[in-house]
This record gives sequence, structure tokens and C-alpha cells, in this order.
Amino acid sequence: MMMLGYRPFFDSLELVIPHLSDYWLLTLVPLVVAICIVYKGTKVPAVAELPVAAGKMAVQILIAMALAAVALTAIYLLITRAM
Amino acid sequence: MSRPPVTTNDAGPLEYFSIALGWLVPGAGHLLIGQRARGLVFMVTIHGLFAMGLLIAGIKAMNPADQPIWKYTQLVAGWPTLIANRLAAVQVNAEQQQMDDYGRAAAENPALNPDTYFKANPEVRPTYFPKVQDVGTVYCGIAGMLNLLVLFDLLIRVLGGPTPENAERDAAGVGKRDGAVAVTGGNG
Repeated sequence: MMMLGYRPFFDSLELVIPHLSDYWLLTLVPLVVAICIVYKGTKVPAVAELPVAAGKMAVQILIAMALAAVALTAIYLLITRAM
Repeated sequence: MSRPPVTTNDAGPLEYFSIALGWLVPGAGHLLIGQRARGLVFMVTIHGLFAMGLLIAGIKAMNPADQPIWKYTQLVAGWPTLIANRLAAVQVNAEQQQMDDYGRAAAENPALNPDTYFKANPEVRPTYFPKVQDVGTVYCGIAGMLNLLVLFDLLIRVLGGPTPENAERDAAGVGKRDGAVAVTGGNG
């Protein structure tokens, strides 16, 4: 539902989608993809190789972040249960 | 049609101008030196990331008062930041005016409830979504940092440094360079 008075790019999207901030973790995905596209764009010899190179890198980063999250959660649980 | 290769020796004002243009319009510097596909990818990605930041957080993603480091990273994104900063200043002034108006109304009527006041005057409703605004600030700041990376790549190409294309050619043992490094035009 479009909220009356909402100005795209001027007002926060949270006015239109309440509790958007609860899903802030999902906003990491486009950020990682953009970083990978630009970084790999400076590294690949031909732009035709870019989609595969950037895709691989994005998947690697997201998997690494997920593994780091699991590891940190496990450490946190171990510490809090030990206390 | 592709431009002929640019070497260190014949990098002229146009190539140096491309660096300034690359800051002002992300990706345009690569377009100017003939790296059209690469420039287009950089342009779409960086502008898209910046636009997503503003879409998510609104204009308050710009110039966060409590995190000044992002102000500088956002500035590297070029024209989108210059325009958005101006609009953000206008918005901040307007909200300050609205808060002053509320302050005066509250002074005249001590029983005035801010919720009631802003519900009755939705057009002056200040908004504050810190988590979402932080996300937008980071998006716009990262867009600036990515443009810095693109500017370094552009500088290397203009000054004849080692590009991925040359590294690949050298590894294949063809087209050995003699001092100057060619910046290829064409498909980027």
C-alpha cells in the first residue's frame, strides 16, 4: 500500500513497509553483489568473464559470513552456558 | 567502433580529464578512455547502489551527524552525493523548522501531546528510523568507496600500469610490452 505523502528517495522505505528494519540482514545481499561486481570488474581481463567471477565471489563471501555467524553463535552459546 | 590503445607516452589531457570525470560520474571515466563495457558496468552498479541506499533510507542516509566518516566516503561517489547533500540540507532545515513550530505550540499549550500534534499535521511529521537509515548510509558510503576503487583502476589504465588484460597477455607470452602499457579500447 502506498502511503499518502511518501516521497521515494526522500522518505525512508519504512514508511511504506513497516518493520523493514527487522529484515536489515537481507540488505547485505545486494551490497555484497555490488561490491563483487565492481571489484571483479577491475580484475577480469574481459567483461564477458565478469558475471561468473562476481557470482562466485559473492557466493563465497555470503557462505563465509554465514559460517562466521554460526561459529560466533556457537562460541556465544558456549560462553553463556558455561557462566 | 573501438578507440586505439592508449599508452603511457600518448596519455594526454583527455585521459587525465577522464579521471576527474570518473569521480564526478562513476564509470564515465572508463567510457571516455574506450573501456565501454567495463565503464557501463561500473556506472550502473555504483549508481544503482547509491539509489538503493536513498530508496531504503531516504535522504537522511546522507551526512549522518553521528558518523562523520560516512560523509567523506559518500563524497567520493560524485554527482549523486553533491545533489543528495543539498537536498538533505534542505530537509534538515525544514524538519528543524517543524520542530521549532512544535516547540512554540507546546509552549503555548503545555498539555499538547507530540503524537496528537503530528497526527493532526502529517505534513510536518519528522521521521526517524535509525536502523534503516544506517543501512542507507552504508550503501551510499560503499558506493563512494567502490568509485574510489574504479578511479584507481582508471588511473592505472591511464598511466599505463599493469592491467588484467596485460597480465593475461604476458602470461600467454604474447605481445610483450616495451615500457609503455597499452590500454585497450573496444569491449573493455
